[in-house]
Amino acid sequence: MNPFPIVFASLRRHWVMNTLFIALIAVAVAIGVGITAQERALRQGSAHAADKFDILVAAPGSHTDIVMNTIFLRPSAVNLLEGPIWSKLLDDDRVDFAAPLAFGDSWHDHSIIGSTAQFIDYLSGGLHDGTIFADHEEAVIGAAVPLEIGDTFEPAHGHGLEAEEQHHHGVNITVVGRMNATGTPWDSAIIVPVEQVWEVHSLASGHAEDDHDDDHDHAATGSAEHADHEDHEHEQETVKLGPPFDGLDLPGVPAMVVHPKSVAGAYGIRSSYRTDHSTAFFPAEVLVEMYQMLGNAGTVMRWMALGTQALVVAAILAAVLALMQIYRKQFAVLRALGAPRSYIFGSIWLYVAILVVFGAAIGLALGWGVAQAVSQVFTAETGMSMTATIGRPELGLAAGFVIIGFALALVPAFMLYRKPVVEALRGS
Amino acid sequence: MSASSDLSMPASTSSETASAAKTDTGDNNNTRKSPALEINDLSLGFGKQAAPILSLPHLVVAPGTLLGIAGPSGSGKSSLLYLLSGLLRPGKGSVHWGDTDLTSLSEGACDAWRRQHVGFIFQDFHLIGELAPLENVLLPAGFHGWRIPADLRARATTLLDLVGVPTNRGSVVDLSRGEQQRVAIARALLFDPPILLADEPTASLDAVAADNCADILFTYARNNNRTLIVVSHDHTVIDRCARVLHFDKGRLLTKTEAA
Repeated sequence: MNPFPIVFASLRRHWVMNTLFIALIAVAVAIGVGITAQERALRQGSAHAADKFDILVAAPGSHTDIVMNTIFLRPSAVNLLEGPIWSKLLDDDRVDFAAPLAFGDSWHDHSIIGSTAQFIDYLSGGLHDGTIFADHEEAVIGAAVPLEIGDTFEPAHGHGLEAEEQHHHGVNITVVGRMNATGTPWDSAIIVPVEQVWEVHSLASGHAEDDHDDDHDHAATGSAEHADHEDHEHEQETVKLGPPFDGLDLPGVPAMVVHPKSVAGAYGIRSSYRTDHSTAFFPAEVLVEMYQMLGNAGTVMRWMALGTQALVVAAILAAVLALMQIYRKQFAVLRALGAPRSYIFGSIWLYVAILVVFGAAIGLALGWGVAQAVSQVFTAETGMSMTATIGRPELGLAAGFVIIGFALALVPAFMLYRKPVVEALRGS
Repeated sequence: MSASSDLSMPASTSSETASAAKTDTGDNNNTRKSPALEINDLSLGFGKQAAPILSLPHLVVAPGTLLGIAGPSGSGKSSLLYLLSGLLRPGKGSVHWGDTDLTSLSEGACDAWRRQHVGFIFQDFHLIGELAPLENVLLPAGFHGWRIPADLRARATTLLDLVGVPTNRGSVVDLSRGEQQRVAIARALLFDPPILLADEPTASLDAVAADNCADILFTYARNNNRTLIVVSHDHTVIDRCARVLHFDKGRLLTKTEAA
């Protein structure tokens, strides 16, 4: 039995309607595929962005705000973690690495964050170009910041319009290095020495005035030039950047990023720094909560998508049943010519099945394309690298649609299969 | 047209087709010889209380007969054709084609029997507009096989040549009505069926095309000793029949025999 000639003929005869069927199915599948692919891309992108942030220690407040500030660089007002507390972290035996993060300034909407040379190395695994900062007025930029090494800029207090309206600090900062791309919002960040942030905000330097410098760690500054010109600098004034800090005269910072030595250590730190004056948490906990909310919204959207798909299927089924009335006489003629019922059944089923398969395949591609486009917009907006992919859930969704389509294709096939031939031949 | 002058081609029906017929119907007689038709006590009605719309106590048609069925509209002519092809089941009575009682066959077996034994020609041709003439002729080959045997394809080409339709046309919608009916005739002859049933085959054609189609159909049936039963109002068709049954209100009024 070869029903393909009659099926292809039927597809060609009502090609406008068949194209419309395929388009409807494609849109229905694309909605579902787009939602799941986009949601997964968002989860993966945000999880990747939080990869380097094992534990955050900050002043008590909203964990979500702290995460949004530190990982996603979305500015919001947070309390400052007192100097003695975060300086204690630097000496904690359970800590492998810790660095302060000081926010508040920006340049053309690029967040300027005060931190240490060690943090830059930890975050991006070294520099792509240039050197690490060796002075207060030097900066290392993220991979996506539209500045070149040697460029200077003037930071403004705040972000966006607020930054325009607010005063500038009157400081020119020179770009000395560029980080490797991280695929996180930090690619859009400008990192300056934390001491620079304190300085422009008229806070203490973080280093004792008389602490000249036997225990200053040149390597920690990451400055080769600094080391090369050690003698010359010691003759003048030593620039103190990075740890060790003077715990007694230390300004507060919005947050500390901590990499523990062990899992047990991580839980120990989390427990020890949950006090009246500080909070410590795994960003993953916040992300899980966010995913849960995202998941709930995603579930609602998926149900809506399923509802849309059901409506589309019902509409197509109704249209196919109407179309079958047109084909009724044609199939009756085939029966008169000797076609078995199975041929009629197979032809109609195959006809609907082809529409469903084509629609689902196009929908899969369309859904992926839309998710990819949304991801690109999102990436441009947040700096968070997001890649929408077609995975098992999307394939499962499309396959589910196809299976349901195959099952529903039995309805018109069965209905026409049972139609009395003579009645149809007479055209009644 | 010279097509009708050389229509004595027997089918070199493929072994696949022949074996399909054997399997499907249980009929061991695979020769292309036309079977005799015998109808007994045939009655067709719709609803238990209603009077039968067709009643035929007895009829015997010898193999190779060219039989015409005439009568006014609603006289039961087409119903008789559907009964003879097994498309319609009588309320009572029997329809025997040779040893096969159509009324005792299952629907599937009846489909298979019809496929192997009957060539149907309709008033409105019922070709598939999106297919080429050759594809239309070969359409029934897809009913019981995936691949079309080369000999069947060759036969389809030969049939189109015989009925005078060029095979290089893109679609049957490009053909004249007369040509379309000739494609439909070629389609009916694909398996060289021993029985040809035609329902008003010339009713939608002009006189020249009608004469041409009738010529092809009758010449083929006569030359190949096929039973042709044709329902028609058209005298150019009826006059070619060896026997004519006149029906009115579901009853056989007269039988006429050609001189």
